[in-house]
Amino acid sequence: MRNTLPELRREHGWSQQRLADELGVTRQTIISIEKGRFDPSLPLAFRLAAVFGRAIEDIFSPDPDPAGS
Amino acid sequence: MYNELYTWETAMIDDAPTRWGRVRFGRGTVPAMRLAAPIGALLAAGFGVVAVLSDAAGPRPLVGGTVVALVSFAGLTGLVWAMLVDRRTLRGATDRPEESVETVWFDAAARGAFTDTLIVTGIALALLAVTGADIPAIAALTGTVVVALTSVSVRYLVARRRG
Repeated sequence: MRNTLPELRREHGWSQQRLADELGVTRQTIISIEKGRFDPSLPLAFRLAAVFGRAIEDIFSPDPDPAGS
Repeated sequence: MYNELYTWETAMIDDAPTRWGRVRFGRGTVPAMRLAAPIGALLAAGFGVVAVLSDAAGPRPLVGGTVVALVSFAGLTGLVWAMLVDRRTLRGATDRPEESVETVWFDAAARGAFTDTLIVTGIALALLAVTGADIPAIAALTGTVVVALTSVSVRYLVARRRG
């Protein structure tokens, strides 16, 4: 999944550690989500959306289909 | 009113995260080490007694039993602490470790290690059957544990490096 987490985080002026503390996860988890290597669970995605006051689909979007179908 | 406030404030102070964490009892908490250390000491003393009774304590049972108790004290205390402590009361611990990427790495490492252990023990079993070699059960079980632990460790480190 792609996400706009780095942009949102910078808008709020938060470090990765600050966001990790807000969500109760590790900084490595935030790094992995931002890089698209770790898809958060639904509850974590909801908490992320709530922290930034956005809808989940404003933050996460599916990867474009490589087949183009 | 004062009592209610006092109780609430005390509860807030008691729930503050600490280095060694706390054990929850209903609505209250107790420092984890205050429980783990005495229980660990009791278990260690039990180990010492068992060593003496089973003649594993050597020619000087009292000294041998004491050494067994002292050596096992730290490990047993740590084990009891790990079983009792409420992770949420540990300073620096994450609130929801199950939602962290580290848990995903560990789960993947454990799954891979299960396969590795089956393959290695299967090959070892086949070799033993063909060659007719005979190894002690302790060596075989130790080898199995070492393979499993090594596999988990290596796989976890590889997953971590990949991010």
